[in-house]
Amino acid sequence: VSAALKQGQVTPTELCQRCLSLIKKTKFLNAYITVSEEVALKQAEESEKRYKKGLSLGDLDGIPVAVKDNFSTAGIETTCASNMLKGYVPPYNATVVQKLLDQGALLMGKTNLDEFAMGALGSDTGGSTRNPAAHCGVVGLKPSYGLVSRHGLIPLVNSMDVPGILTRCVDDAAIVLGILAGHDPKDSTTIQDPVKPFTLPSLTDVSKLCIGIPKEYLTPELSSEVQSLWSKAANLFESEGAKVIEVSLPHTSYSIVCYHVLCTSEVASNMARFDGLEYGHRCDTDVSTEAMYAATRREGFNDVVRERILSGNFFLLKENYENYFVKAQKVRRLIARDFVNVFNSGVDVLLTPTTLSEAVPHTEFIREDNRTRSAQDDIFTQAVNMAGLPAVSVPMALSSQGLPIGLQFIGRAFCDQQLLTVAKWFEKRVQFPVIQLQELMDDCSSIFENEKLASVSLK
Amino acid sequence: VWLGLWASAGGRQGFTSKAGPRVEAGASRRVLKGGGRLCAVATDRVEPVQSVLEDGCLCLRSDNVVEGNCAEELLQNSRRGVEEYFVAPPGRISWPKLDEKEPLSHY
Repeated sequence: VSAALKQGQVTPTELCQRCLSLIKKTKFLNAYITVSEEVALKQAEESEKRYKKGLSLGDLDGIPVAVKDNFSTAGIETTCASNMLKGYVPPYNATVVQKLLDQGALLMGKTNLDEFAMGALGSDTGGSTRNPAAHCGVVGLKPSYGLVSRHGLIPLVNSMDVPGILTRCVDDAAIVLGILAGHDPKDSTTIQDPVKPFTLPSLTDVSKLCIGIPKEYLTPELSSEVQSLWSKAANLFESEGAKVIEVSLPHTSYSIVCYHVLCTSEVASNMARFDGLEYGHRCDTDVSTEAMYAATRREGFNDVVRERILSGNFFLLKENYENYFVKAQKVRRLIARDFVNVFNSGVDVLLTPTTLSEAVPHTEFIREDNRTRSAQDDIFTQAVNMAGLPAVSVPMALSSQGLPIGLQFIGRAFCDQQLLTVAKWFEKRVQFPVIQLQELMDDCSSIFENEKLASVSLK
Repeated sequence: VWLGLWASAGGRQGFTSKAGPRVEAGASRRVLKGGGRLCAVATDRVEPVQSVLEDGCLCLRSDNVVEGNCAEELLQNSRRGVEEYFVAPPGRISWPKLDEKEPLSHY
């Protein structure tokens, strides 16, 4: 698309309008909380002027992007999909948002999420870039912790949150990572080493590559289709000369529980700021500060959020702190060490499923309580967040129901480039039927007219 | 070598099994019970992780003010304010006992 913009085959304004049209046509999906139409069109206009003068800012100039609604966007409502932040307009941009805008990207709007990103699809924190990517047939990258600034990302779990990147192909993810990565003085958890934008090499020879298959990830809950694709992928690497070996991550079975203790504890702390005084929702009562806090927080947060806060507060009580919170921090070290040991034994990249199965229908999805769902969906993705490693989900094939299934690659810390190189090789080999936007628009027109949800046909 | 992985699926790994009807309190109990499972893990002489970046140096900014002066913008986000102040209800009023609670405080 960038090439098309540079060659003048399409103008930023045309592209922007087509996107806005598609957003309107797919409104029934409720994907956007806020659509920033005026902002986007204005940005498109400016981008067009730059292209006419031959002064484009780079590959992202004029490219439409959407940002999850837990990233602060100056002048644009940022709600975290919560009543608590309804109407909240941040006075600043998150660093990653600013970087995208500085490159000339067009901000189409703020996308929907589970309240405060605590939903069953996991959080940025536990897999919510990779899980949706796998279910939707796109590339989902979680960079190494410390590579991308969290300034302006409304925090869930400070020690695990990482801004994630969703794109149509691995090359695009690499481009965006190159722009977003780097030290931010406003985020002391970003590493100081300079990061330069990079182009991914096209790997042809994988004979020096060692792929690890963690045996503990073969669980009874894994669907046979995903298991079969995982096996096929491993075969693919081996048949092309790579070394493929079984490895062990012995503390895997404790990762869910460990994650939940740490997650709920940090969440309890991070949610304490929402008291209705300086921003966000405030209840009507003025009897006392205590009554005001209680009512504001009861009205502002949904059940899931309140449950996590209460659980977290329990683990943080003085009498429980050592046995739960500190204990979980120790188990976290053991989990992280499992990965280090595997990488030290000569493995370059791990290959695992991303999800247990293809996306489940909504009726089935809402039957489980959130905690169980969260545990099930995050199984393969959250240990990576605890270890701070980079991981990417790459779409592999469609299920027998026609729904996308992706696989996850996990790399060594700060070896994001190597990880993406391997992912790109894989993407090229599997030739996943990526959705074509024109088809999608045509299909959506008929859906819109019939006002009925139908499966979109993919070539 | 790794093909043996597919042959033996092994026993249940202790991942959460499918639950019944949606029960918030039940879910809380599960989380708390889950937290207790951690006791089984041997962690003698294992240091807790504060940050995965513990081996690096924490970079601190120099103490120079480079931004701010946006009191008006910030005040606009609050529901109740007077001039440059956020307004809170009176404090030091203790939360009423359960039997004294007013309707507003019930679920």
